[in-house]
Amino acid sequence: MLLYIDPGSSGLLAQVIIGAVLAVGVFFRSVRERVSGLFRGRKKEDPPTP
Amino acid sequence: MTPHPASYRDPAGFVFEQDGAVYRWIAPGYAPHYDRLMASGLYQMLVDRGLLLPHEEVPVPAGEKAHRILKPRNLTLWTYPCEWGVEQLKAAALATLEINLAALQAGMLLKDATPLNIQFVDGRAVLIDTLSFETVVDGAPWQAFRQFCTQFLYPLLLAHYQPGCSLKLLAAQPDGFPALFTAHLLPRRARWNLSNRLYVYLPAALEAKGGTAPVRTRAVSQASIRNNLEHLRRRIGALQGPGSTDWERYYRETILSEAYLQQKETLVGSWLDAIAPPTVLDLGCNTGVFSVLAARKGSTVTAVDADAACIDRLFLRCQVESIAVVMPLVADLTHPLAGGGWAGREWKPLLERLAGHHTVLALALVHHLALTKNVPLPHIAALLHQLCTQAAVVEWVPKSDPKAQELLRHREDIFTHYTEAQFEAALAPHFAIERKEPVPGSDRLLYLLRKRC
Repeated sequence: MLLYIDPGSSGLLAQVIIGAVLAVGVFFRSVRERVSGLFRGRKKEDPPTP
Repeated sequence: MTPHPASYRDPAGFVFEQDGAVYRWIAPGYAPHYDRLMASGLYQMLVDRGLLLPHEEVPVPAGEKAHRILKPRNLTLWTYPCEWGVEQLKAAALATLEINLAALQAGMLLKDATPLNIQFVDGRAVLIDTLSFETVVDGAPWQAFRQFCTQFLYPLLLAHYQPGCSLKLLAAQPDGFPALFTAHLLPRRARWNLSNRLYVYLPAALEAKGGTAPVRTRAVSQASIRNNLEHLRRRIGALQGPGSTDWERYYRETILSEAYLQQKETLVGSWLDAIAPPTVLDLGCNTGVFSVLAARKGSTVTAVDADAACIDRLFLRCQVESIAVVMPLVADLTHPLAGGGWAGREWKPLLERLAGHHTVLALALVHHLALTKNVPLPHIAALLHQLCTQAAVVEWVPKSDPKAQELLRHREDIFTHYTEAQFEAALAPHFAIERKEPVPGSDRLLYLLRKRC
């Protein structure tokens, strides 16, 4: 029976779930970067010392 | 134009040999993908980065239906993933991910992701299958994701968590390890890792359920595919092979003494200078001290050892020191790969691929084959003869040697024929002894042999 299972199906389902979970991770990472960017951003705007 | 025995799976084209050169025939149906690969600049970018095997287009003969015929750069030695160390599989996996990320930028993806499409060229993992690229269909998942997992990710995870796990298993399972198989073999602590949960235990659970689970077709965005690839790149980059730890101790244990090694290097070095071999096959290379020596003297070297940790070490050293001419591979000479695939003709036997080197080195090897594996001396002499075209440099380790004694310690000495005289008698039909020198600081002898034709 095993021979007739579509080998691609579970790969697709896993990929959809992985995509969703990773998207959450990427979202939080971008939020973290933006928040830390707020602080770092201010420093960057300081005029360079000659 | 008869296709190569291993080139029958892909309708996009096939590989054939003509007058000793290899060509790739591209089917008209693959034209849009090939043209995009070339026109988008993706091909040139990948070739410039050393990730894709370069080719030139040759004229299509009249009456031939091909879209194009390519002549890829020639490969000197073909190897299979079951003959690689873990670090080599890791390099191949990372190259595949880099290529796929670059392809995604150009609106393409790899339609297959197997280490069989990777070869090592000048010490780097290079994609050889130009027909692997396909234009992205919006919303479609990455077709080769599962294949990437079973053939790259799962073997690498097993090697990381279970250092005894050998990639030789890939000879028995060339399609890789299923998720369920991997989940069973991983240790308990692997469950605590979120990435393992997603990439191993989740697909394993789906696999265990079988095909009865309803599959809804959902769109997978390109951003999602990119996230997936970037995650895999980070994860695999952090995995470690057995070659990364504790090798100093290992090497100290395998050699007799520093002084002996130095003397041997001087002697072998002077002989290599004298014969100046263009190609060297270093059998039982250990961590490759003599492979690197031969490489520095201008030879192209194939370095073979049964110990995967040694091969990992040598591969990493060659990467760090930019030694491009050494190809390390894992093989047990008493059980070399005997070919495989459909009709047993897709994979070429290892000994066939190794034959043709100018000079073969067999340093501190004969006693392992003879005293551990019971291989008779005439068999060993015949193998050395089979693998070289001109010369051999062979070390004789007598029974009185401490390392030989170690091999004999826990077993009955059944090796009455293991003597210097019998060794020379075994060599006689195959080789003329040109030089014979004792290695100072030991009872060992070094022979420089000329092959009799």
